[in-house]
Amino acid sequence: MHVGPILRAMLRNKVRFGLLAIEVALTLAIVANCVSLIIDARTELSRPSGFADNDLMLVTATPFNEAFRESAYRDTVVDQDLTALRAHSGVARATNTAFLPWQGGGSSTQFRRDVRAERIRTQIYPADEQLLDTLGVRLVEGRNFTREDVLRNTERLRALNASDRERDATGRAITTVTVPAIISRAYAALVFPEGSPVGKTFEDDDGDRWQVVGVVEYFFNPYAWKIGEYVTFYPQRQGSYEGGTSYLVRVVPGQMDAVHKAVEQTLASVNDTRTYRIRTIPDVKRRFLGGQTLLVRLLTLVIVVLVFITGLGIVGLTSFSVAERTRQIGTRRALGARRGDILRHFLIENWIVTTLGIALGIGLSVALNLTLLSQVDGARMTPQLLAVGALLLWAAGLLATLWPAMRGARVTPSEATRNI
Amino acid sequence: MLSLSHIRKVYRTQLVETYALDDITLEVDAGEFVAVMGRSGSGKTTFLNVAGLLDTFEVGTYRLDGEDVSRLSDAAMSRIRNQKIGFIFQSFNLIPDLDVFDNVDVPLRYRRLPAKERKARVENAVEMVGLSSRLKHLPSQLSGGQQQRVAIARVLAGDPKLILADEPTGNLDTLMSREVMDLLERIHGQGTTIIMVTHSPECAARAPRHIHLLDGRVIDTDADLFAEHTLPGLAAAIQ
Ligand SMILES: Nc1ncnc2c1ncn2[C@@H]1O[C@H](COP(=O)(O)OP(=O)(O)OP(=O)(O)O)[C@@H](O)[C@H]1O
Ligand SMILES: [Mg+2]
Repeated sequence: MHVGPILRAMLRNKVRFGLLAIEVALTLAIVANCVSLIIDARTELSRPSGFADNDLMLVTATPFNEAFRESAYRDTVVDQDLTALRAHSGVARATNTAFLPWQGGGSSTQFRRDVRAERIRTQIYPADEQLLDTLGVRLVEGRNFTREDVLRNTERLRALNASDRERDATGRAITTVTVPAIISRAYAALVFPEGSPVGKTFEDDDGDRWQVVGVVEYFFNPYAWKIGEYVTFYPQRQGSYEGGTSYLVRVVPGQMDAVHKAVEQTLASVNDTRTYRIRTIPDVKRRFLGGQTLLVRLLTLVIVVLVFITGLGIVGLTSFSVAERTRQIGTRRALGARRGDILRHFLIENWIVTTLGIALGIGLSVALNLTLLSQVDGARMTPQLLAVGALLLWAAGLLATLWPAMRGARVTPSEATRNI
Repeated sequence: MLSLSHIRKVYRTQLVETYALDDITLEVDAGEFVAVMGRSGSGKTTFLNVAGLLDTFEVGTYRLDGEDVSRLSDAAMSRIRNQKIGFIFQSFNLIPDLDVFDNVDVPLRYRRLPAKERKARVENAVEMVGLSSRLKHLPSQLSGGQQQRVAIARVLAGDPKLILADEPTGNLDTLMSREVMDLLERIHGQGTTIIMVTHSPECAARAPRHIHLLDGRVIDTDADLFAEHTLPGLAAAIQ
């Protein structure tokens, strides 16, 4: 009921109360965005990949033998490796690919339907005809890659990359190729909103066309951008002298340990001029989720610390106000204010500051969220989240004010006549 | 109006016990104008605190306006202060961040009067102390005498039965003191009971009745006693 004069008196101390309102605003902005990130991370954590995660491992063989610089030599070894792996006891499937799920990233590129359309980002990985079976992903439309696709496309891309391509003024290659592609249903829905995508094409920045031959039902691999569900596979033998050759191996359930122990020996018996690195997907996944969990904990800590510091700021300012205004409080008491009136006075004062801060903070939260969204993909700030943040700060503000305000309410009326 | 009997107020610190009021028995009738005098530390402010329900006391009974107010709750004392008593302080005690209007309005808001009535009372009271042109001024933009007049307007707006003033001219020069005393006399003329603590014989002379305090006790009106017990330096300052 005394909001009018309280507000007018506060307007005569703009800096003091303004700074606190800004502190509240910053706190809300940071807290709301942290919570948004946490919620985002949590949904990411609970989402399945769609693969047989528990039975997958990635084996990378890196040569130290100059003979591997020859692609023909490499190809022979890849075929021998795959034959050996598939014949290995406990191995269900094996594929030559660099795709390593659950490491929080991979490779990506942008495609568009045609020059006029918008570029849409997707993950992209080379694959052979066994990839889908190895991952355990279901093809819902079109066909899988064939061994022919893999061999032909590998040759073609090698020829293309052997020398610099001739380009026109806009940077597009003069002679282009068409590459078969298998894409996820989520990506298909983005690029081809209507009708079946099978047989349709999209293009990259070189002007090469990519023709959809198949669509997989579901795919999820967490990625820095929000493109976890978008993927494009293209047929190609994977491997190089420097990076080595990778195989994604799917074991018979329960055989992970046994295969893990024996697989190195199996590849060495094909060719022992290589070093090996074996990563099981459950391990990779654990590490990734661990990192995310750590992030969530850190963000939670940031929230707690920030709210605590802002609370301290409010306690500090109110304590200062009370101490500084002891005589004024005494005078008000002498003029008829009850203890409750004094308490209410400080609560209203801080409520005004917090509310102003929250109003500023809501604007700031959205601005910060939009800035974050332009850097990394994440969830858009929701009104519910802002409401919860606002309530949290209101409560914190009230609690922080209560203790010093109660001290203010205990100032005796005789302070009014005290002569210093 | 006021009836105090055998009132005792003791301040206890770790080292000393001070009998700030020691067995005070006193009657003040409605409409009286009383000057309370005595040297520094004699208990004048303490007496005013007790009379104004700003402080409690240990022993004795106090009746104000026919009502026993000796042992009231804090809320009840607040209500009586708000409705029956007006305070004038030596250092004016205006709220520095409120303008003249809002300052005079303070006790009326605690009385929870409707906005319209408050506005009328404030404007009327400020008019009576001749500061209508200064309604939007802050205390810091006013002279000491003007500030004390605002404080008097704050009292007038509440229309109290009793006014308690603790050295109302203590921080003012002679000219301003006179203005303030003129105002108090006019208010007294309208039937309000006034009790005023003062060190100044000139101000005291305006009050028909004098009460002298010494070490927390009342020594009834006696000019000689006053002179005798005043410190030499203080007596010189008063001349
Ligand atoms: N809060 C307190 N705690 C302890 N002692 C106090 C307190 N207030 C007053 N006293 C003591 O009580 C006695 C009376 O004080 P009081 O303030 O009533 O004197 P006074 O007559 O108003 O003096 P002055 O003319 O200087 O204002 C003094 O001895 C003083 O030291
Ligand atoms: Mg005093």
